[in-house]
Amino acid sequence: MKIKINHNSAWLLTPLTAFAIGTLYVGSSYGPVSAFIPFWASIFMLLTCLFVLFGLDGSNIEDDDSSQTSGQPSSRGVLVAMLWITAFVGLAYFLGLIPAAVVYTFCSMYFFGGKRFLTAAGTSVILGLILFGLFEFILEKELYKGVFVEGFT
Amino acid sequence: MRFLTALVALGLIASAPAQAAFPEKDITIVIPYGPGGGFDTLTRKLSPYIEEYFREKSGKSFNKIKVVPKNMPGASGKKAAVYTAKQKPNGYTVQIFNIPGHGLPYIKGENPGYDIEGYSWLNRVGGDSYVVVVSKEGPYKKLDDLVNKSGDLKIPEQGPGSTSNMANRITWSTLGKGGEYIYGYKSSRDYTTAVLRGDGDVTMLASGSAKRYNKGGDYNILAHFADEVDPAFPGAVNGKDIGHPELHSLGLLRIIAGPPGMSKEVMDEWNNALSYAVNHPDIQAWSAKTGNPVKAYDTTAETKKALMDTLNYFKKFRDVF
Amino acid sequence: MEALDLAVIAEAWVRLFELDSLFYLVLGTLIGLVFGVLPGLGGTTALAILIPFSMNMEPGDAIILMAGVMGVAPTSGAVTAILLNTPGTAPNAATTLDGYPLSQQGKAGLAIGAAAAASGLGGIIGIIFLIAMVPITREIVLMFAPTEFLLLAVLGLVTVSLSTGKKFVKSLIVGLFGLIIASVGYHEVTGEERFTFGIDYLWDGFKLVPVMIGFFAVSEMINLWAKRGSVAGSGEMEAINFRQVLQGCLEPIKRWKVLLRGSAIGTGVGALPGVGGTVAAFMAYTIAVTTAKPSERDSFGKGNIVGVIAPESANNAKEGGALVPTLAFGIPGSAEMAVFLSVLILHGMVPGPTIMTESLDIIWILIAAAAASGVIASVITISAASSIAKLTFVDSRTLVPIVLAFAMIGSYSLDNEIYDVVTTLVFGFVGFLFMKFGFPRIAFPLAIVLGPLMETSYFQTLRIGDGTLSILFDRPQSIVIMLLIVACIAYYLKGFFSRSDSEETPA
Repeated sequence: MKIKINHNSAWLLTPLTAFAIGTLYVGSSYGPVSAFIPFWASIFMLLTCLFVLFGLDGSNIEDDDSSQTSGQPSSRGVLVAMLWITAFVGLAYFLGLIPAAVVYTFCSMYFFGGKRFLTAAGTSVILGLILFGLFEFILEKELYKGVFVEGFT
Repeated sequence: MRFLTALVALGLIASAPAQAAFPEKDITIVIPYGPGGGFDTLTRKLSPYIEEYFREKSGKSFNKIKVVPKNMPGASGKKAAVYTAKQKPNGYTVQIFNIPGHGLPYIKGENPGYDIEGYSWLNRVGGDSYVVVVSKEGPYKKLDDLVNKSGDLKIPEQGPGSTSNMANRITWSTLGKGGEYIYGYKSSRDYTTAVLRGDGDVTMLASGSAKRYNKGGDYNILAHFADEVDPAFPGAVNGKDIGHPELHSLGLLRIIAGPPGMSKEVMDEWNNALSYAVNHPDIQAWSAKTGNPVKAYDTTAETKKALMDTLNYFKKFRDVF
Repeated sequence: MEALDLAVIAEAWVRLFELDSLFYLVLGTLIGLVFGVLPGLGGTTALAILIPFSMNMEPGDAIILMAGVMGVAPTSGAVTAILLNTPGTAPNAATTLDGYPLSQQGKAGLAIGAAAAASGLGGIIGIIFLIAMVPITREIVLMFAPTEFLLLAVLGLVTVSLSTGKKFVKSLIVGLFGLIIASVGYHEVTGEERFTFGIDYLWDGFKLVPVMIGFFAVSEMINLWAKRGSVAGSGEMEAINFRQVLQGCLEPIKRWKVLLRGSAIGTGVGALPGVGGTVAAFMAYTIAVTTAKPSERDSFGKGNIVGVIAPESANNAKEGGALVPTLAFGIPGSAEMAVFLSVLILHGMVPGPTIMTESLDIIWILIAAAAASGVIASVITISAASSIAKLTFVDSRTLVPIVLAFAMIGSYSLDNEIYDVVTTLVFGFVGFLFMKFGFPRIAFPLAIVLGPLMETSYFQTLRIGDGTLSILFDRPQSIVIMLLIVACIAYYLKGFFSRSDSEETPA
């Protein structure tokens, strides 16, 4: 068995290992019955993470063929994606859920997607109307209206 | 001068009927559990009749004031209780409570984030006494058989905070018998079936549930802790028979309350509305058919007394929990 | 046999085709379809919302409406599973394994057709099995104690990890992670709080729906945005036409053994309260993989249509099975059943041994409606399939914000809780990271669903067995399941070794 540090997955495995250690620590402070799953799950998780981290499961060899078909996105692309998705939540926090959806869709389509202004605006507005109709009208759920209306929690 | 007088008069007129005209808009009844359970079912069944009462009372049958049940499950009922305590005490938000369930922190001397005594207690709507249930096919034919079993009794239950669990603990400690609790069953139906299956020896149930679950005759009800003898449980002993009449105070109450500080007028209105709903012939018929006992009191004072009596009875056993 | 009185059964079907009944049936089906497609909503939400409306209806009509919703949600849930790698309902998670790769190859129409047909047929087969089980429902429920649930949970977790083949160890990590996440919150058995750190929101643990939406939908959207392009990386949009869909519909019929096996597993597992459709779907999938020819096994996870047929037939058949404990004992076989139960009680029907004698006519109407709604749902899905499937060719810059909006709002609307949206986002990141580094995500939902069941059952088993696990060997049911677990592991090890053998043969 060759031991070779799995560099690619280390980005994920390191936080996972830390998570397992943390859970083990907190979990063992619980009573015997409550600690059962946290304790054993985190021990096994720690062991398997180290196992994979040191390449013992042979995953270095066919590493990251990954289930996606087209080429792997770049790390920068990934970061941008994660930030942009988070932006939706941030936007919703201030504007409320439905207004955020409209603004966000428009920005995504127009600024990032290069769609025509009318297409982007039209789609966003229609989306907003559908969301409003479905959630507020039919389901009668009161959706979050943003910090200015609801106040800072 | 005349303008000022008119303004003042307008102000007086505007403020005065605020209470007399209750209700003027939709009302919410908070249910501390998810859809499908006993509290949920009872609340939803009663709501239309409460609505009927309020519409006629306020003369707004055309305006369609609604009584809307709202599920708010979480933290075994704590989430709803904390929410309700924070609402305005104007009678537009009330909640159905599980007693002694919601009162368990009070009984144990803990602070759950709400003060159970502080709520505006409106009226009882349901509730029940407890029975001891075993499988008919099993080895226990009378209560004594259980007491005489060697070793602890195995008792399937839902979880440590439930009312039936409290009932079990009080009963068996009163009878001087140890109990080993098998927690984790999802509902009273589930843990009763467990007794039938042989997972455990015995458990306790609300009498209404017992009637429902025993329609097929699978179980034996060995004891029923209530003053009235119920024809559905022939052969069941009661607390007096075994020398422990105090066990009759074991019971589940389903009570409706509003946030602390409601006015007496609105509370009395609610008390009447709930009595109306509970005593409606449709509800009585449904109750008889489905085995969901319903009962209401005539005054809010009576309601509060029933609440405190129950809580104080359970408080005596705090060491057992 | 009293229960199988043909006159009553016939009467139920006649009643179903009356105009107003049909109206409720179609209405229920449509509502269930829409809710099943929108991530985060699902059959349970639809049922809960309909409760107040149903109270003013006649019992028969209310039942038909509800049955319409229940029969359908797993069908439409498959659509999003296939198109967006996002299971509409948890039992559809297994469908993503092969359904999504098919979409990526431009064959979404094929997948949807197969899923819809498998769902419709599976649902009917499930009902037939249910009818056969009606006389012995009681015995079935009494046969399965916490001992068996413990073993079934283990079986579920084992099979799902093994189904990922060479990525078994990584899959295990994801599963263990899921177990830990599932343990957050108030522990039923001891009353102790775990990993809540004083935060009220975590008192009841992470809610399944926001977590799943994040883990699958949001992570997928992150991926799509980073990747650019559209879901379908290859293939032609024009290739998705009705003919492709129809071709898909014929697949379950061609592979009827898979269909039958899947439905049987669905009904059987569905009959066990609490275990539910997710396990049924995964078990069906895994058994399909196990029973496939060795040469075909590698194609699973890459767009093998059998990988769509098996779980979809199982998760619709499970509705039939879930009715067993629900009707016989009033113990809901699934979350939808729990809500459905309350509807029954509200209308004065008392589930339990006597419901078979007292309300038999209503039971048959329910069964008829459930069967019919499955079929109607399939037909509707199939008709709309080719249009819906073209979504896989929509550009990411348009698709992502729209799906994200529905996902986040759906998550919020569950309990009007803004923290649910945060949960969704966080698990979106987690799910994405797992995906990016090649960790199979599929063990996660199963761990979350089965973990608590396994833990609770473990302690119940210990208590019932007086402190030891020896009881596992005293019960024939337990022994059977344990043998199944061993058999699954053995089968996979055998396949694993024979595969590596053939790989080592020099080219």
